[in-house]
Amino acid sequence: MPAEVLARARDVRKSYGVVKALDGVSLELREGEILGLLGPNGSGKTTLIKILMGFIRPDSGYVEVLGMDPYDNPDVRARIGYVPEELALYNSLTPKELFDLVARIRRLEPAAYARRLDLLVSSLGLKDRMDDLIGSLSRGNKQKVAIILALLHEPDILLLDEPIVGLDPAVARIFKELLYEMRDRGCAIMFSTHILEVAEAICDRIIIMHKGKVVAEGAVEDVLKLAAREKTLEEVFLEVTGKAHEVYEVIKALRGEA
Amino acid sequence: MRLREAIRLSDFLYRELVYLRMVSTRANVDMARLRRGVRWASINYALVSAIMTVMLALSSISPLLPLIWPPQDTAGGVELVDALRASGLVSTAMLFTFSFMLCASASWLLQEYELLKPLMHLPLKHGDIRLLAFITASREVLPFLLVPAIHGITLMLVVGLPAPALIGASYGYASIFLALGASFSLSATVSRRHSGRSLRARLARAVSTLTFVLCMASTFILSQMVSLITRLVSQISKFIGPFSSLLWLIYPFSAAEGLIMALSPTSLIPASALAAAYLLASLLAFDRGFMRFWRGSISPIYVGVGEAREVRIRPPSKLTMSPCFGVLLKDLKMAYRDPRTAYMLFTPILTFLSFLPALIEDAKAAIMLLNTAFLASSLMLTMASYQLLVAEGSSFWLLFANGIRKKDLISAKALACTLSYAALAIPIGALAWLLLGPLDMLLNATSSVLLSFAASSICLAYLARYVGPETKMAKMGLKDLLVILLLWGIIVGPYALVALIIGPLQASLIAIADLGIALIVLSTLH
Repeated sequence: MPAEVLARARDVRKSYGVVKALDGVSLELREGEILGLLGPNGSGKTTLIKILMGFIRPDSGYVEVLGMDPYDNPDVRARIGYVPEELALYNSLTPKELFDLVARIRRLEPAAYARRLDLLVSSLGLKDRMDDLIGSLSRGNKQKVAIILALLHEPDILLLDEPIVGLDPAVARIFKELLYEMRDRGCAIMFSTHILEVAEAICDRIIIMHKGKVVAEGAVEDVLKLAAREKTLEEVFLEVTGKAHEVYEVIKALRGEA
Repeated sequence: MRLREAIRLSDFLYRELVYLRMVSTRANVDMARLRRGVRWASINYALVSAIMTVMLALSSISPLLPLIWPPQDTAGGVELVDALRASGLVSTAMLFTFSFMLCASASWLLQEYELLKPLMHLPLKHGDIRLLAFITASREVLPFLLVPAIHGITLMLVVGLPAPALIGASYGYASIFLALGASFSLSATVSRRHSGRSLRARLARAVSTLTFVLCMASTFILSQMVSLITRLVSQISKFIGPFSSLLWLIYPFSAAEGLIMALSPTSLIPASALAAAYLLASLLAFDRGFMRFWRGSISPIYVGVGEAREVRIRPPSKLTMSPCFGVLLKDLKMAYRDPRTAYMLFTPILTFLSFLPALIEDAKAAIMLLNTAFLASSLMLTMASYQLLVAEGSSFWLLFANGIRKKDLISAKALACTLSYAALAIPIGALAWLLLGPLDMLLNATSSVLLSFAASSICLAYLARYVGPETKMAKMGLKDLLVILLLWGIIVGPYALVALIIGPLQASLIAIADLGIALIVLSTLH
């Protein structure tokens, strides 16, 4: 039985002045999958994630999350976990206080919340920093705080915008395991990243965006077939975004082979 | 580094300060706006500096002007003595106050936003960067250096002797340097964030916040009291007779007494020596204060980090698991830890203190004055609750991503201000009832608390209509300010009229009705 589609976008367009952030993007996010969203800077990944979160209304097109328009039905966020690319946290609060704030906003059951929080902070190695002010934490620890905020309420959908930035390899490995565990329980995960090796390793399907359009989509092994030279995602990325020639010319120049 | 080069380079730091002040009130600041902002800031700076310098100079010399036209000799000795005393006190008090306020704001911004950090990587000597920091933080205060000279020249014209002029000028410079040192030291203190849950860390945080609030409040109170100083001086002079041998040693009274002592050859030397000592002490205080500021600028802001300790995770109480309570608790915690936010919540106290001079002058009008203070507080609190909204900065995404509704957000902001005000107003109302008689005072105090919540909620509901997860900064334009004032007038006006014409009991029913309207407005929000 095909997995249920928890979020879909059909021919979504969004412009900021003359800049077309999204130019007819269509996709589906199914339960129990990790969908990788790749693309160069400015390709529209963050805009797409924010539209699925209901933060921005698209100029045209159809968006549905858990059967509802997320912009007109903000209650849908009760079942979504979100990690933004730019972290703006409360520097004067401790992580424990921030988690408690979110637990209160989401009206989580206290005992279950405490158990879940204990598991997450222990897994991600934040337990000894719970009483430090967030402003004093390193970039990696702040990222852990943001990840835990997204996972606290065991969401049905996870929208992650560059979640691995700043995490050391050990914590990144544990984070991947957490994602696998949530995927296996039916959570639909959209994961935007620049780190192609990570996308290759953990994603079930990937979408490559370029200048607001989807230029490649499919299971990882299918997308790899698009590569002209080496069978790597990096090669595919360069081919479908039309940057291959430019990049290899620069490499030649740097090596003095021009 | 040459001074001219340092001034040119400090323009970059000053532009950064202007930018930070601009983005604190508007989200989108592009290059064109920034250039305009810097141009405006420069013109503004020149105008404000010029106006404030003239104002300070006039305030310092105004008690002396009647003696110049026509000139009077010491046969009008009492008048001369009082004029010198008043001039000395006003000059030192106002120079200190204004120098402190202007420098504190700029130096705190420099430190809070670590504006000097990018310079540390450049091939500049520490001494050069210190010079840049000093020029940037104190550039708005530098024109004040003219004021003591003007004061000294005026003293020379009045008294005809150089000694009082030199003593007056030296106390003026001492006040400026003392204020600069105090403001730099204050910036260093309040910008350090003490991390952790130990008693020491909590006390340190409380002291930092309290220090900032008290300092800001003291300059406010002092500026309000300036108008009384001249009157109080003549009353003080009746009492200081037996204590004059002690008072002349203590700053700022020594500034006043020193001018008088300089008229007599026998007391000239001790007065001059004391003035020189205070000038040296102020230079030392300035140097120490600036070094504290400098060390704070180049060291980590957060104190107490690095001591890893595991924390047992306790669930919060079921009774507190509501969005409104969550945001309220968050705002109160942040206010306690962030001096700027704490200062906003102390605005009701400042409102009452601003009426203090009038209360001192006319105790019989206390009831009317207190009622006016209660009403004025409701307006101040509306602005304070808006400031709490602004204090969210770009963190709105976090609240909306987790499903907060606007009604909970606005209720929490309004409650944060109202509860802190209630903690002041109700005891004052109860005290006024006990001391002055009518129960009306307690009734008025309680009604003003309800009005404050109603006004804050309704005004915030209007201001927050465009606030959402993508909001980088809540803002209020001129049109919004006028609408807020209109809304406040509509909410408070009927109450004030009924209270004046009929009575406080009936007026309290209006306050309850206003509260009801506010709750209805909140319930319509999503």
